[in-house]
Amino acid sequence: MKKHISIILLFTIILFTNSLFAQLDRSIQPKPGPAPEFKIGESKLFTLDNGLKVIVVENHKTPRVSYQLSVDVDPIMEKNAIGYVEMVGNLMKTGTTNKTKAEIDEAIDFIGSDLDTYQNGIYGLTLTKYRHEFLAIMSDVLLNPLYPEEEVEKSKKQQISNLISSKTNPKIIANRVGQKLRNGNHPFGEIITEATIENITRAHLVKYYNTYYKPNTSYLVIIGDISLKDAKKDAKKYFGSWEKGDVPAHEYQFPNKNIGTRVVFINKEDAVQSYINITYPVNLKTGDSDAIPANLANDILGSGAFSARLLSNLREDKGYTYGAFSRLSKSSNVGSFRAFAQVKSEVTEDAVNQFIIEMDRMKNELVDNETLDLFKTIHTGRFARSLESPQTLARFAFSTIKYELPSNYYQTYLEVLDAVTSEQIQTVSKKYIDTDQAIIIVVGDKATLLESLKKFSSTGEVEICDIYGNPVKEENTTAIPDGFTAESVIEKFIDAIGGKENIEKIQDVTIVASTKMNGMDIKQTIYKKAPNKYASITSMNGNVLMKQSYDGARGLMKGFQGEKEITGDELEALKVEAIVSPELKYEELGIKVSLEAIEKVNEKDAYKLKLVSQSGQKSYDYYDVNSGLKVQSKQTISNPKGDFTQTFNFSDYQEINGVKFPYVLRISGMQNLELKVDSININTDLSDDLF
Amino acid sequence: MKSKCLLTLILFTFTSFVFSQTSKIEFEEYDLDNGLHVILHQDNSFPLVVVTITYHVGSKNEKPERTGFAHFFEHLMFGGSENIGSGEYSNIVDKAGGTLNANTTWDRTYFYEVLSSNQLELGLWLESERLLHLNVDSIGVATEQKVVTEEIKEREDNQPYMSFQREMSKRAYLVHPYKWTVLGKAEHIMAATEADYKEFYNNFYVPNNAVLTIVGDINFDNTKKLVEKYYADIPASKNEIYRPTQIEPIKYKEVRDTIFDNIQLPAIFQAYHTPKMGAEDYYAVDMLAKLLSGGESSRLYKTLVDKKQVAMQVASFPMPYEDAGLAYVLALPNMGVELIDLESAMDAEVEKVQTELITDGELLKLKNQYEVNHINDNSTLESRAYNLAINYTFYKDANLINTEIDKYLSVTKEDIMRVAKKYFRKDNRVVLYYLPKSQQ
Repeated sequence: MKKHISIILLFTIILFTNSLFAQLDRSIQPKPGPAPEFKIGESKLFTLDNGLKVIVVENHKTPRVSYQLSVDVDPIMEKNAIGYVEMVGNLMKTGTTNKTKAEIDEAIDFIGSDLDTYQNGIYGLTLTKYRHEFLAIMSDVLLNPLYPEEEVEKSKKQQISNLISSKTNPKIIANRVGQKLRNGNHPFGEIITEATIENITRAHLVKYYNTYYKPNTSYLVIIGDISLKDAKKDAKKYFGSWEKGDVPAHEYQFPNKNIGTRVVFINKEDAVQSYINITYPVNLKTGDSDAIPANLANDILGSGAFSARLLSNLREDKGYTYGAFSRLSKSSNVGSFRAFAQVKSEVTEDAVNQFIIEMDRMKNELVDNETLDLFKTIHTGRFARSLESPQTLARFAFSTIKYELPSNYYQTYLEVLDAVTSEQIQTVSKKYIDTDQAIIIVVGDKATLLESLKKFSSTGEVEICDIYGNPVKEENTTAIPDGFTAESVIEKFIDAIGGKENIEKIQDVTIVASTKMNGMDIKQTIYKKAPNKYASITSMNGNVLMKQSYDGARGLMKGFQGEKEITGDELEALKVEAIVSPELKYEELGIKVSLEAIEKVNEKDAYKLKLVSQSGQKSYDYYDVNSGLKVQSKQTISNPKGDFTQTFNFSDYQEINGVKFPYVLRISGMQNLELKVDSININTDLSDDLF
Repeated sequence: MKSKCLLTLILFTFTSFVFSQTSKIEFEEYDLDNGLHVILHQDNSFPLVVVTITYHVGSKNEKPERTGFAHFFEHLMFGGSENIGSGEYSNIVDKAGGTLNANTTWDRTYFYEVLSSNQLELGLWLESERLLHLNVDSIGVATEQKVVTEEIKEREDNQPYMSFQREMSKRAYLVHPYKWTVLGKAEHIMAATEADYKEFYNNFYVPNNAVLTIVGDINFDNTKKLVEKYYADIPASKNEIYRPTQIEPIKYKEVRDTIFDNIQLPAIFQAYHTPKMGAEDYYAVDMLAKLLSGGESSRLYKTLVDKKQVAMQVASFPMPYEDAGLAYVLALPNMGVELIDLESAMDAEVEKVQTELITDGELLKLKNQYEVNHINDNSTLESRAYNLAINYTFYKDANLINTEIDKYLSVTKEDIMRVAKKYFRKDNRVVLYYLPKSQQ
């Protein structure tokens, strides 16, 4: 009997599933089942005798445990040695009174653990079974750091190298300048430069450590596969001997907001993308009654959801960028708002405009209910998903104590979120999303963008800064004399080097120049023959490295790797290079020349000429206003890869056969390369075979 | 003989130790008639579910004149379907309080949704829609073309050093499609036509080229029924799926070049040709890379960064390629250090591994590190879903999620020396010097 029933049951199930396929209507979006309950796991708190507050979150899913120590102190002014507070943290594990750096590294790596030390904190992760070995090191590093002199020097060297390596990174530049300008005289406005690193000494580090690293202002968060009992025992054993002490408190004035909108520009010549960062300080901390609605308002504006307004407008609708976002950061000191994107250069102006439109919309329009509900759902989902991670629970426990939140703050978080109204969103947007007092920072190509950004500034002026946010001295630009054109500049140059007649007498020229690179002698010989033949041979310590040639039709490059045909933009450049005085032939070569401005080159006024080749390659030549000679050339290559500038300086002009040639060519960069001419010979009847 | 026994003994106790600590990841797997492979893993400790689908297609399946297409197509997969309006795909996930994303490599394209467990059916419906009948309008295509162009600039061009993969790949691979990068060329993306999308979609986005994983707060019976409901009647493709057959020749000549980049501090990138992932020697090569740069006590870090202070940063890592591998070794010098000096210091460390066996202590350290990696790698629902999917896609062995660790634990000191000699040869590598453009 029983068997019989189950067969029938099976039969009906089969029938049922079959009919499901037959009738599956794919146009119907499946409805969710009953919502599951997301429980906030428990955390426990205890305090050691020395005042160290310890938070424990048990989670036995994986056999590991993490330890995070935070030293919670007020920020300080670091003045001319900015960067040392961070170094106090970074260098903790570079040697203790018991162990060398090598010994610490070996011990940590041996048990496969991680131990990171950073500004006012330490984080580590270890398998539970190795936790005693791990804690012995963590405690040694925290309680007995030595800050060895040679480690301090090494770290300074690395930090300077690091700063240099980030000098062309638009994101780092825009964020750094934003941090400085937004925070003004508050310690948060202090930014690290090569000079401030140079000023750091071991004494700075030791003094800060001795003054501020105390248990009574610190927290230890323990998460993972460990019982409360063991966590307590460990905490006492490894951190109980840390001696408490008075820690100085500091108060600072909240940074002044701007009056009006500032536009700050940092030049990155011929950049193919502009980095936009709209920022200002915000007075908002976790637990403020505005915090939850303000988070939601920022989600609507600039979270990572595709329906967020910035992403939907700038990416999904216009295709200006890969990503546009905004962040509202809360802080017990100075919080911040940032809206940012890296956009195609040509659309920079409209992109800034769209940022402002979307930000203003938050203040001026009530958010419709559908949008509000959508973002509540998104926020709720994110909150719920984050509860999977024990780190979230630890963060909740930490914030509850630090910000003195009601004990059920996170338990009721979603209820509060759900009750937020459109009116509340508008109220907090008026307070925290503010284009009227914002700093709009753009890192991009000055030549094409500067004018177009003026309209966003309350004063109509754009402030130009360097990559550290210092104002670049406004060069007292001399006006271009009336009627003076690019042609006049070129004419003056031709006259200055000897006149058209003398130049045209040159049938061929041989230039031998030399330099030193990486300790080796490099020699370059350049041959040019009228009307348009060119060859250049580069040799190192007497061995030929490379030969480039152009016979009037075909460009070739020969080197170790064999022979390669030169094509495209490189060939275009070579064609120009092949002419003895290309300045006389710009029209023929299809190069468009325009006089842009008078700018300073080596503190002297120079005419700036913009050259655009047939294929659209841009470059700039500078001619001294007084002598008429060409003093500088900036080559800018802007294919998708491009976006860089190389600068050539010409000096020491000397006359050969009535025509002046520059004898020194300086290529600027980190290592200044200087090419010196050894000899120039004219009309030696060069053979065509050379090319 | 004696020492060998001892080693086996140590290994044995060690491995058993690992498994006493780590619970095995249990899963079920099966094929639908249309060839879709399904993997289910249940973990009811938290009410979330992860739905992923992996298509066995990446940049290596592209045509040379359409590089970057696989990644571009990944973007198009968010466009809409017959039953999902243009641009609605991610909205639906947002409205369900979930999250989604995707990523593309040389060899595969991976899509996922993370949802609360009561939304499992939604996730299955969503993925079935874009597998069965993707429908992207021309406006959507045009916008994504612009977005991807900006993505290429943002990731490769406007970032210092980030052209290294492009520069390295085109020199390291002469015949294999790995010679172009996943992001490809913007002009190829701009030139793509409707015929290209259709062909690509019909060839690669088919159930017999896909793996579906469902991980989290599920029950097997119900989940299987839902999979049946949404996927069983999706037709398999009858075409053979294109996989490149080019075999990259073994190299016996070092390739060296200089790249002038928009940087201020130079750098060295080296890449050695190594076995494809999963090959017998792959694990020893991976371990060798960790020996060189895993942690601050690793050989390169300790010598170059700490002792000689010639480098600011060092790294070494094998790239997981399905067909033919590359192991990168790279270093950024401290300011004022000549690249040539930095390179000889790097080479000296490699030579040391080739000529001297590593110590027992070092081997044990490496194995401890792999043990921890194994645990960390499988600690979240998302990472388990990913590992199951990838192991099946490339090796047809989802259970590698549990057993791959054994392959690492069985590597010997001799293996490490052997692979160092066999693959980390100067004549088997490409070396790129990255110099500031101003030095050009």
